[in-house]
Amino acid sequence: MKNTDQNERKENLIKTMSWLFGLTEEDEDEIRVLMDQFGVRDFFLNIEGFNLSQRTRTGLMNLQKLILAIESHQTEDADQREGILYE
Amino acid sequence: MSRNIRYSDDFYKSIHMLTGLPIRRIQEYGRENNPFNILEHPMVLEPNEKQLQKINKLNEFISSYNLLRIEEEQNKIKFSGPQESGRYFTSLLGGVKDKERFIIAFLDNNNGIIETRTHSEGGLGSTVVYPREILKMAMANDCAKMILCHNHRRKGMLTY
Repeated sequence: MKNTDQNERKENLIKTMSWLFGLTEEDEDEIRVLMDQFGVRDFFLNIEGFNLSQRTRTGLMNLQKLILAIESHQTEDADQREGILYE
Repeated sequence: MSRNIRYSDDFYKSIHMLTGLPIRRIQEYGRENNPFNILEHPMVLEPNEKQLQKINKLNEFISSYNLLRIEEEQNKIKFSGPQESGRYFTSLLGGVKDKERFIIAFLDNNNGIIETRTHSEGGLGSTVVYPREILKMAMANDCAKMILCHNHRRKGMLTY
C-alpha cells in the first residue's frame, strides 16, 4: 500500500515535470530509474551529474533552485518558531 | 542574511523560468513582500491563465516532493509527536491558500499511517464534513487511531 502511494506520487511528480517542460520518453524513463536509485531529494540535488537532455536538465535545474529556496524557507520558519534569530 | 538573498534570487529566477512571470515584476513584489506569496497566493501578481496553471502545477509538484522526501527520510511515515504530524500535514496543505480542505490520516497501533485521504475540498471559507463517511473509511482501514486535519486560510492550520 505504502509503496503504491509512493510510486503514484513519483509518477505524479514526473507527469508534472513533463507538463511543465515537456520531457522526452527517454528522459522520463531515466528519471524514474534515477529517482528509485538515489531517492527523490538526492536526485534533485545531483541533476548536474546525470545523463539527461539539455532541455530537461535546464528545467530540472530550475526546479532544483526552487526546492532549495523552499527548503531554506521552511528551515528558517522552523528556526523562528524555536526562537533562533539570524543576524 | 546573505543566504536569504541568494535563495531569494534563485527563487525569483526559477519562478520566472518555470511560470513565465516577468522577472522584474517578481523582484519588485519580493522586495516589499514575502516572495513565497507568489506560490501561496498566486493572484498577487495577476498572472494570465497559462501562468496561473503553471503556478498551480508547481504547488502540486512541491506538495508531492515534500511528502516523498519525508517518506524517504522515515521509510514509513510514523508519528512520534504532534510536531511530526504537523510537518506532514503542512506538506499536504502548506501551499493551499485558496480553498479549505479536510484531510484524515488513519493510523495503526504504532502511529504509522495506513492511509491518508482528502475527505472534502470546499471554497474560501468552508468545507463540508460528513462524520458518517469518516467512520466508514476508518472501519475500512481497520485503523486504531486517526488524525483529522483542516486548514483555515487566515488562522493557519488546525489539527485534531
